[in-house]
Amino acid sequence: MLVLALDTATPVVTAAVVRLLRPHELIDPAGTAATSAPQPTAPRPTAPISVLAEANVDDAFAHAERLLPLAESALAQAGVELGQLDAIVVGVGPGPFTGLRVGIATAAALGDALGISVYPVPSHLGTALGAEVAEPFLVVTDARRREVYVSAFAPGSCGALRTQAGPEVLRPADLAAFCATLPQQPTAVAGAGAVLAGLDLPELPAGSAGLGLVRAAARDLLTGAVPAPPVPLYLRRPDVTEPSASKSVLA
Amino acid sequence: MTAAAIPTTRRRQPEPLRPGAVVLGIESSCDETGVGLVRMGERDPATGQPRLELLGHQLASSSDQHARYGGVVPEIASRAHLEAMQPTMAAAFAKAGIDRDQVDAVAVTCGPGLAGALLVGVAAAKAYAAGWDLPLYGVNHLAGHIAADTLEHGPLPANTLALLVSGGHTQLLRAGDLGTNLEQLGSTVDDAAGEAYDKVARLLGLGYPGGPVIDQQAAAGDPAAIAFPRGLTGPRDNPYDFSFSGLKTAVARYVEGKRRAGEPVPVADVCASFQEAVADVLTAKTVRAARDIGADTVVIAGGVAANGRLRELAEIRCGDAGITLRVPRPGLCTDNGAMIAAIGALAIAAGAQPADPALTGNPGLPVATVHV
Ligand SMILES: [Zn+2]
Repeated sequence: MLVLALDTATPVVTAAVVRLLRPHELIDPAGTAATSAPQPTAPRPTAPISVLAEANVDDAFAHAERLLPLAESALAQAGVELGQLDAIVVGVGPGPFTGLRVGIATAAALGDALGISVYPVPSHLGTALGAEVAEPFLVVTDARRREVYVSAFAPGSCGALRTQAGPEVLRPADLAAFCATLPQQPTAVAGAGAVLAGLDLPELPAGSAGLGLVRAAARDLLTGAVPAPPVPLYLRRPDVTEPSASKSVLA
Repeated sequence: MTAAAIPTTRRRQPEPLRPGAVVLGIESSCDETGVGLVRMGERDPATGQPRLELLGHQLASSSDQHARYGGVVPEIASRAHLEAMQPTMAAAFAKAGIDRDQVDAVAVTCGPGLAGALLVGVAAAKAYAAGWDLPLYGVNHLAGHIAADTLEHGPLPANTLALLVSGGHTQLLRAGDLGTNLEQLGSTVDDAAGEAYDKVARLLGLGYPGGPVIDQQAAAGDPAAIAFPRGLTGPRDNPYDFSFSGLKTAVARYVEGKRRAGEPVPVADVCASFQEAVADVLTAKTVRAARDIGADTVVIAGGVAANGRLRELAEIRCGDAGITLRVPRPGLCTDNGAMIAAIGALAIAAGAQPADPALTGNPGLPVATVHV
């Protein structure tokens, strides 16, 4: 199945076209033996999940301008038309609100227009699953206002990845206390906010966010599960205060 | 890899110009999520403009969530737009009684408005247009308000003056060639008219929004009871600009004076006198501007156009001046998707080209930019 993966939770805008093989396609990679003539020239897919094209652009203040053209260019590079997509996976943050909403609004509308499902995935989980790491680690991203978003991951059984804690929004100074509560101590840090974290841990190289997002949703994609609504992980309340009733207009 | 726009293969060729073509409009500039569907008709021989038919529209408002704050909170509005977009879209199609594959073009408000709120609508509109393989037009919210009237009363004559009054806008505009051109003659130098209503309502403890409740209270009051000031009506003032800040302060001073003296505040009289001052200034300046530019038609649009006293006084003064007055029905005065579909259709009919793939919201979109 063909999946479009989108994420706008960080300054980097991501659009990827990913092929996810259904179980029967893994047994019979071409998936065509029983129904049509053999296609000797078609490349045989080898991995259950493969990134056909991924486009990333680092532009914190232009998510709305960049995202859809970026998705169209990834589709063109993958040789896939919008109408061929089977599903969309979207990172739902946490992330600074306005840019994050652009990705979710785009994914939701595109899914609605094409009549396909939109699967929400925590953006940190996408980053974690795209990073290919076998040790406990943190994902840290910039939350602005001198705070960071943080999640902790650890290897689970059968090569799976387990979320230990998060996502949460913290001041960098509180990261050590956050780590102290974790069953497995992180030995590395990933994500665009790694520098902001100020932790004495090695920084992991960025993997494929598109791959990670689709891995995170793979089970639901393959079983055709009804997706949850793509609601942003805001983590903060709207920044407002109620006016006091007695306040003088003349004051 | 760069973000160069490589368009995907078009599955069908839409013809948004042909009579019968359907334009979908998406609005999200403030606290209303709106989707509207408008059908393009034959051109009116007198004006050359297409007749537009409203097929249906749907609104979702986050107004209740802002009430306790006494005004629109941008972050709350943006969150609400995201949640409301798909349900509002589905309901608009259900109301219009057409299928999604009958749409020929998508129009979206790209400004002016709240930055975060605009982006939700623009992102959604770009994705719908891409998903349906249709041309997308970014349009001006202010022009949309005026275009709403054409859904009810037909194309606008070439000599049309528009008064746009709402919680966010108070403007006099030359609007005869709406699809391509909108010229601002004057605007408020401080508060919008609707904003003044909200502030006075809060002062009197009447809740939010202020427009309907003040209009209601004023019905039982004497509009001549208190002499409130008429802003920017002196001989040296710009005849087309407005100011409501001084009026709001005068009301506050009057009310606090009463309270400090331990006297009851005559709420109905305050509402009636305040409303009279607003309606008097708005209509006097509108008729003056219409005379100056030789306009034979005046359109009053925007949320405050639903105000009873404003409509009444405008009818009297336009009638005396021999000017035809047009006001859309209240449901089309507030922000909505139908008005965006309408201005989209007018812009297409006037030869507008589809928006750049990098279209985004522009909170400060100039009045004169009808489409981008
Ligand atoms: Zn408006």
